[in-house]
Amino acid sequence: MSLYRDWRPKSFADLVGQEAVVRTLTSAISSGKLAHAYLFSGPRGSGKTSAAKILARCIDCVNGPTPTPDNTCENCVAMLSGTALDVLEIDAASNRGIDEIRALRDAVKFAPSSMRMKVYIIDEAHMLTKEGANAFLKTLEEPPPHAVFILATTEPEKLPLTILSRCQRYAFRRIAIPVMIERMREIAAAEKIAIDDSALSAIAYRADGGLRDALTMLEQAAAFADGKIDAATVELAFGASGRTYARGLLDRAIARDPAGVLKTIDEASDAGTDMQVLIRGMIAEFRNLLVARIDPELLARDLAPADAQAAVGRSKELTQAQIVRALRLLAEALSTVRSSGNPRLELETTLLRFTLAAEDPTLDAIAARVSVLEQGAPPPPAAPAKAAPAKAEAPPPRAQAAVEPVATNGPVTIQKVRSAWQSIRTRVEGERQSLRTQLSRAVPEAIEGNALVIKLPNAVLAETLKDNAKMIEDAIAEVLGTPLRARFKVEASAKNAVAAPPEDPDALLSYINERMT
Amino acid sequence: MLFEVVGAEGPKRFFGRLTKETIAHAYLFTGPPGVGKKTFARRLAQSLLCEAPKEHVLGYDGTCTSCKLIGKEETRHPDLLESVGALKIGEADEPMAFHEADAITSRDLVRQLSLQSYSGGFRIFVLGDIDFASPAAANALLKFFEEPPPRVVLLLTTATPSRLLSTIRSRLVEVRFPSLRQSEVIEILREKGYDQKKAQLGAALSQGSATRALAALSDDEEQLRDQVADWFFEVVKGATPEEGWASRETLDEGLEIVKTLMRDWIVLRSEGVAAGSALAVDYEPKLKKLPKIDAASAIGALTKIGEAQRLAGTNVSPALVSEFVRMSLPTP
Repeated sequence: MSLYRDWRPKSFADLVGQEAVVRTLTSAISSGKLAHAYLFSGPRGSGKTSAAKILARCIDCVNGPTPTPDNTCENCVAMLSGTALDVLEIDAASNRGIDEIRALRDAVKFAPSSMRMKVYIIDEAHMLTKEGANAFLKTLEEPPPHAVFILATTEPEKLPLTILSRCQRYAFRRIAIPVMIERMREIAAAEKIAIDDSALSAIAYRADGGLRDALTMLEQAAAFADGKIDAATVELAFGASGRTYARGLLDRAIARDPAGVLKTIDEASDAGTDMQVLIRGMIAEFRNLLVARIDPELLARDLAPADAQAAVGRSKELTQAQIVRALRLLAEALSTVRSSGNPRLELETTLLRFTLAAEDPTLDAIAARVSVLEQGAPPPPAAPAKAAPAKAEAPPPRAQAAVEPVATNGPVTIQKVRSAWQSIRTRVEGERQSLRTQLSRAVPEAIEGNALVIKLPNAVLAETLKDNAKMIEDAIAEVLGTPLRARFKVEASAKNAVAAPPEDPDALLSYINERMT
Repeated sequence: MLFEVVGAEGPKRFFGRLTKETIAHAYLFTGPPGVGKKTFARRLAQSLLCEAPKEHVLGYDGTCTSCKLIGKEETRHPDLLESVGALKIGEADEPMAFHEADAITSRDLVRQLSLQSYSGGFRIFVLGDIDFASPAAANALLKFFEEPPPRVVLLLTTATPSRLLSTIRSRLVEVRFPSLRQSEVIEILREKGYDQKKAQLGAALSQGSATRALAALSDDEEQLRDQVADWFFEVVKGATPEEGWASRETLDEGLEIVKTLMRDWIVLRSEGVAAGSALAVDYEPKLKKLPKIDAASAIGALTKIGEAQRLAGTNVSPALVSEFVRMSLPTP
């Protein structure tokens, strides 16, 4: 008996990762509002069949209908052992024709033999033939009062709309990585399987949202390992996932190190890594970086916390346009590989093109380079950006390659501030992206004593920046090495002056908005 | 105990630890084509059926009745059923005689799976290239994959697991087969009767696949390689080659050869990148004599070759595509 069958959740409380579904179902059952047809849809291993089995027990438990079946009464025991006459689990993939549905339709009419209701669990419902599904329609619409249908499918879009509209639909979600890790930890502890955290997360990633996959792998890893299961055991048991190599490659690519890229690919190839898997792995990594740039919180579902943090760190080294370019190049490589090519060659040339962007004449590469200049982010190899945050006396860690270097001592002049303004902006925007528009319109005007006067075209912008003055002051102190207070001044003539439209796209947008209202 | 499979370290170790009690009911072998998935499945089946007593499942003695029934190419063992390629669902009432039907169907399988073993041991089903099964056929096996009868082992292989139904994949234990190492490809080629020099060349061109190595050593392919390489070296010398190589049949492969040579040129001779060794080992000395190349023109050429590869998939004349590549290669 395999783990995933042993550990099929026996109550809604054990069904992990589907809080919304569980909440709705339990409150429907406790308020006595049972529907006559349910459709559970969602990816594999997300708990559809398990939920259907639990729901059947909720309905037919001796103490039912109850959201918490006792699993000990005779009805529950019969259902758990699969011998209940009134709960029928039907495999629609092999009983898919009109004749099978006709037989079902004829049988539904009869009252249950011993339990309260007859429950039909129709698994893989998307495989019903067109005729079969249509023959089922009338029964599904108005079944006898003693019948409940639960349809489960991974592909609801394949079912006819007429079936969908007769069922109450519940969408099951992929199981999030952290939830999956927790559940495996629980089961491993109960089954006395020794496993460490790195192995748990390695399995969780491979499972790709399916808890059944995860448990199958856990079981096999346990059979395979001598002692404690660690990440290396998992790699050995299920082949290298290429994640380690993908991470290494990513770091080399970010560091603009073409020789390192080639070396890593060579190592991966020696270790027998499937290059196509590696290309996919790289796509996944760059995708994570993109998500990290847009909204780091979204990563929590897909990555373990430590990995999410690493992704956020890496994402700061690249601009969005660079990441998008990498994704496009890799997607191209993948399609070339599919049609004919040599995966290793494609991966190498793709990453060479990415790392040597400075030499790439295509529009794409140029756009990516422009984005770097706009952001004022440094080309990484020059200055390792991961340096610890500067203390008061430390030199600025983000010396900008694009602008003239900023001296760390000597009096601060307005020229110095202006030339360093881009990196101050980048720093503040790194902390709070929403300030981008305001900053793009701010101009450092003068130094007055120990204060920096910053000019803004209107009072609204000035107000917002004033609220964040502390952050801006910190950024100035860090970049220039000298603390300055920030004072904001509204440009008096801004209302009347017909200023030329700003160049920065964000500023341009707010410029247009201002004039429209 | 014998187990005549070259390479596949991971899978060997994996199955080496399993016993007849801990073996799961269904495995999916994945990995690039030509790395020995089907061979491994056949030998694993032989191990499971072999009558010699042993602790772990891997290994067979090769002399028992069971082993004799399982040949190198064709099997006559009644408890081993092999089927490769497009699996169909089949007619509901079509009778099937074991080892006699020309195409095994899903319904046959479902029926066969519930039968008792002839020799009292396992019943083993090897389904090669399962990704070619029709969706209906694959779905019909789903419930079986989830809760199979006892003493049945299914060994499925595929080079493109992403084409499988995810519902099937999640019910199987996936075992990844790595690409073959060069030394392993050489070993396989030597067994097939190639001399050391040929075997080395084949291994270098194999990309870790024995099937590919054999194809690369075929006369047709070798001829094309030489032709394209001559053309390439002419072009980068600045000369106009008299003879083209491009035709509808050779275009994809030819472009890949050009791309490989270009890649090797960068790896061997460019400023700042130079690292690693050539993929086209047979041309390494010639590549080393090429002039130094700067990153800009190298990347430019690679980009253009990539574009040509996409063009090759459309209805553009092969001669034009090769001309396009000729113009984008760096010349002195």
